[in-house]
Amino acid sequence: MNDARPLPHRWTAQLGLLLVIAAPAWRAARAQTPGGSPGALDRPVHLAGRLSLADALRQVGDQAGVSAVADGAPLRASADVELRASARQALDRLGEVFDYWWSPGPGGIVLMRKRFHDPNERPQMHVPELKQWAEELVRVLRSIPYEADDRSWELMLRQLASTFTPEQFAVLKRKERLHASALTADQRRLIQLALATRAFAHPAAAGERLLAQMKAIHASRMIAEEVPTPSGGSGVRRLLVKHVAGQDASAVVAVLGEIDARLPQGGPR
Amino acid sequence: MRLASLAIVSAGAMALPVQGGHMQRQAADVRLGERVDLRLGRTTVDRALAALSAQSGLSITAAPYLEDRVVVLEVSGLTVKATMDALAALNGWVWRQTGQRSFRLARPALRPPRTSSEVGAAMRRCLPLDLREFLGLEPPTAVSDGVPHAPLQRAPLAAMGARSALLAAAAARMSPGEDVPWSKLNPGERTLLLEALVFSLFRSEDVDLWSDRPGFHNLDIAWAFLELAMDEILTVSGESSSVRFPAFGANIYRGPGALNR
Repeated sequence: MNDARPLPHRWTAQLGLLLVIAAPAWRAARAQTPGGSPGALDRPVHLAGRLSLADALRQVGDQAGVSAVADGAPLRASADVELRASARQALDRLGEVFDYWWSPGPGGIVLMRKRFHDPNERPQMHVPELKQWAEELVRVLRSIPYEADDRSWELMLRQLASTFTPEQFAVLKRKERLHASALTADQRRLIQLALATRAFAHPAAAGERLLAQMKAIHASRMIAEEVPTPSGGSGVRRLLVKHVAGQDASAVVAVLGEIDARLPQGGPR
Repeated sequence: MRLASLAIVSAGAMALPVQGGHMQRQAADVRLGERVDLRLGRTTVDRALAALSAQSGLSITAAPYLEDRVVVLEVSGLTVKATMDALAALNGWVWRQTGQRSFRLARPALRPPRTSSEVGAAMRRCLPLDLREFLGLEPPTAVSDGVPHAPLQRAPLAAMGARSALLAAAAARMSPGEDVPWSKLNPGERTLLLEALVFSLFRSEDVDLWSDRPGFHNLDIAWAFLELAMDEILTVSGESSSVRFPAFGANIYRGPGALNR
């Protein structure tokens, strides 16, 4: 190979090539640094006062260059925080205070998610999202064959029993196991359908119900029905409260519970 | 920074093919690499993406069902792409490229199960990540003070708590013949109603299915066997070399379609 260029030029070219190759990797590594900039999580921060999670994260960002995104809003709106520590320790402390865990995410940004250690913390509830995942759940459950009636598996087992040969019955009556391998193909299919119905019919019905409730939620209502009480009278009446989503026969009704309501002056209507 | 990399912002992300427009693609590439400051505090996904769009010059939106999700966003000096990646990673969402300069945040595409044994996992994937974590269906965060939450254990309590709180809040307005429509509920009452309805979905009887433990949904017929309990209850169960499945049964001599002894 005849390379007429002087050696230093060749080295320069190779060095340039190396830089071209290495630069993206270096940039990526830098971008992946937890906190968003090199060593950000080890930088000192000072938090003091009554702070919301957002306030606290802003201060950590200002002082250490740490960027963060947290899912939802904590149940605890604010807390008294007094801390001089590294950004990493500050995030640990904020996680304890606001019931979040954290981890470095793409680009080094800190991701924070609820831990649900606090028994009163709840996941987010938004109607459009609920409707979306309920639809997907129903689609998943519709993709498998089973009977919609969630008690029909009992009928299937009785139907299966009606197909047993005397020999198969004899095995069962001897208290022995009758393995699927000793059954006919039709009998095995019946067991599979019974298994699927036992497993999926109720969750599917519940999913369909939730989807119907979410689709009709904006036109839904809570209703109260008076129920008789053993004592009767005494200025209080018992009400059964229900949620009704939809109209007439197709409405999905959910019982919410009973409450005692004071009778209006002038007695029962 | 290459635009193509946005197609892999999250597992399962799928970018639509961009037709031609090399220059425009380069422009989008450049914008994705620009640094942004989003000191929004508590906000919604919709507002966060509107701010990101304004700073980047790109059209960055969320699927309508994600717009109301609440986030706390404190970003300074990160690239547009890193910020988008973080928002997706936070909840297991994906980005889809919908045009030369437009991107949409969405849930991953539904993967229907091919067999009964895949249904449990597919059902879990339908739920938002925070709900799965709350229900104890996500291993990494299903630990509280070293003790894992039993899957679904919290659901009945949460449903009951929501119903009680809702009834307490609305009691004064409830009267026979006087409906209380959704529009008359305040935001707190609406949330309680949604919680009451949603958490009712999760029965303890379905815990094997939701958590993918051995159950009726993943009992391979090759492992199944029948037994006759108490001389009249035909039960179905199963056993592999390592797993014993639960059993269920029906009385074959009583009830509709029963046999004559």
